[in-house]
Amino acid sequence: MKLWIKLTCIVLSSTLAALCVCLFIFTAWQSEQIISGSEAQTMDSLELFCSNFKSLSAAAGVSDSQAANRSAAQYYFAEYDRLMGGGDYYSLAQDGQYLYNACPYDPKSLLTLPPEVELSYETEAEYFEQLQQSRQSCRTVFGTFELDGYRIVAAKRVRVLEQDYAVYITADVTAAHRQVREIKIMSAVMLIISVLTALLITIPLVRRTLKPMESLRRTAESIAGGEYSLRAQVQSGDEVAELARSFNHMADAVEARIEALTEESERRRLLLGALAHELKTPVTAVIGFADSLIKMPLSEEQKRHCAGQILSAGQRTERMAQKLMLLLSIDGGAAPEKKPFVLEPFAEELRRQYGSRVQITAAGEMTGDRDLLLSLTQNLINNALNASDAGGGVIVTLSETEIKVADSGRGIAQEHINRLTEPFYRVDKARSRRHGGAGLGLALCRAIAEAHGGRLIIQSTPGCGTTVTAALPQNLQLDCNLLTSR
Amino acid sequence: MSRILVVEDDFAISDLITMNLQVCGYECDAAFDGLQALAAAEHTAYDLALLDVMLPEMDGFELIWHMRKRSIPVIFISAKSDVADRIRGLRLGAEDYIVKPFDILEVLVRIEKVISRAHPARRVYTVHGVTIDEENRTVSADGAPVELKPMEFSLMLTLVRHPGVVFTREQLLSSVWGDSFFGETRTVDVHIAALRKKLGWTNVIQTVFRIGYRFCREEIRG
Repeated sequence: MKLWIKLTCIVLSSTLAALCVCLFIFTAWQSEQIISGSEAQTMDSLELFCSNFKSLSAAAGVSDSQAANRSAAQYYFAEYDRLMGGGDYYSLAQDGQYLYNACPYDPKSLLTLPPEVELSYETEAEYFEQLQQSRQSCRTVFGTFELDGYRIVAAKRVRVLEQDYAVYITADVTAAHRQVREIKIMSAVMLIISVLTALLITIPLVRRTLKPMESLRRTAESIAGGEYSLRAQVQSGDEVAELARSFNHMADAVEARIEALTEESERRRLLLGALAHELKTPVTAVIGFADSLIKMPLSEEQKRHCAGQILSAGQRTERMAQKLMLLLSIDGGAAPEKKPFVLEPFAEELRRQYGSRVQITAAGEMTGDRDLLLSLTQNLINNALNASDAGGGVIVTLSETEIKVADSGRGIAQEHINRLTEPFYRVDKARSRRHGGAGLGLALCRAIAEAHGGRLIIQSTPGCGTTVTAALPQNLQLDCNLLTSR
Repeated sequence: MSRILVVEDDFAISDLITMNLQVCGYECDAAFDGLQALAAAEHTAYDLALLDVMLPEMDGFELIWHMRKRSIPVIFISAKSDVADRIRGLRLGAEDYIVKPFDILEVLVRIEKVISRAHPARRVYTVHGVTIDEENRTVSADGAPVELKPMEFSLMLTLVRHPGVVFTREQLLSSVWGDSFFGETRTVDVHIAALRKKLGWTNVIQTVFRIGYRFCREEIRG
């Protein structure tokens, strides 16, 4: 079940329960009020009637004859009843006999409960005593009956002209009961209206409250669908907003990670593309020359030439593979083994290799991977020599914090400098290949410099020469690394 | 003999192409970038230019315009194998577009076709005692005319034009019957047998074990 339906159900059922209790109490209380009001009114009417009947009869004066007295009472009762009129019926009885009864019912037997029981009495005093006993009502004897409408029948003992009489009132309380029924119906209608109103208010409110959830869900789905830059909107300060905030944190992390991965894979893809392209050239040469050896009528000299070309293409591929593997191993985060070494023997090694065209000055000692740094320096010197025409010198300066290689060759145009360290990037494709370059030298140099916490700085003026500096900070942090690694 | 300009920035590939062209008797000049190629075309009337597409200074697609201005037919030899590049190259007016790594014989045959299309010179020559009239497509052995079927004649021409070169059956099939012909390589064997018999070339057309056939070298008299 959807959350909004659940919430609506919860709110509605609690509202309904509270409302039911309230309405029940209200209805019960109101009914009680009305019923007891009508009863009290009936009693009052009976009381008034009796007292007036009494005083009217008193005017006649007491006669010696009991029959005369009874007739007088009967006469005055009838007179007074006619005078009163109205919807209530009054009856007069004595010793179980009606003296006057204008009412279509039999109030005497109605009051007798249960009606089957015959009360045995001689006088009115006994009758009332027995009635009160059976009805357990202390003051006045009465009951409510459903006849053609609701009727209250009440009886009262009256002593008129020295004789006891029973006076009955049969009052119409249908109106009061109808009122009670109306109140009950009204309550039920109110209950239904309240529920409907609550529904109308609760559903949109709950849905509005849960709307951020829905938008959060949509955002999550969009992000899952690849739109990593999307974020959930945080509007209020409630739990949903907190969830959205956490969600956004997660999305940030995911996006950053994915960006990094995409960048990395893009870099790898470019590298692979460049590699495939670079491989195609020597492979074309190998296939072509081998094919020629098989199929073409070549002279001995030409055959040797072919073999030589195949060899050099193979060597070129091998060199490239080696450099690439080195580059990948450095790029892959394998930390170089850093050890201090004295620079002078290092320089001597290079002097032996390159001879007089390269002037090397060195002082102090350097901390780092000696083999990698040697490879870096060799690569830079090779580049410098290739850039200089025959006779141009190369000046190498080795110090504690940098390896600097300067030439006075062709120089490099500004627009190439930023891309120089990309693998396989070449300013002059033909020239570089002719020198046997794999297009990886500077990429390797940068990787080595960065692995040592430094960077490669290339300064160049076209026509005047190029200076490449590998700045290698020999700072405290590096020394700390050294200590921990030991 | 035809003169061909090879424009290729890679030394090894350039060397490969020139060497093979020279073996086949073409005169070759090599240029290593666009400007060199332009300068070379300025001075010499070439019969054909083989252009790489990616060249320093000026790329092949630009260079072809200058070549066409001097009515030098162009074949592209490029590592760019995209259909879009090939279509562009051919649209620009190249006679052919060969993708690296290429088969050297394929290159030779394609060059052959372009040159013969551009220079339909009347050629009659005798080789191994057989006189061939390329224009009339007639053959006579020791003065007596020999009846060759059209495919036999084409096959003979392909072999005769590249003396010493070893052709595979597949290459002969595609160069004589065309790329669209999906015949069996046995068809080639049948035609070779017919040629050997009709022209008395039993030893002239040699079978190279596991590879194909070769036409024995002899001085061609024009």
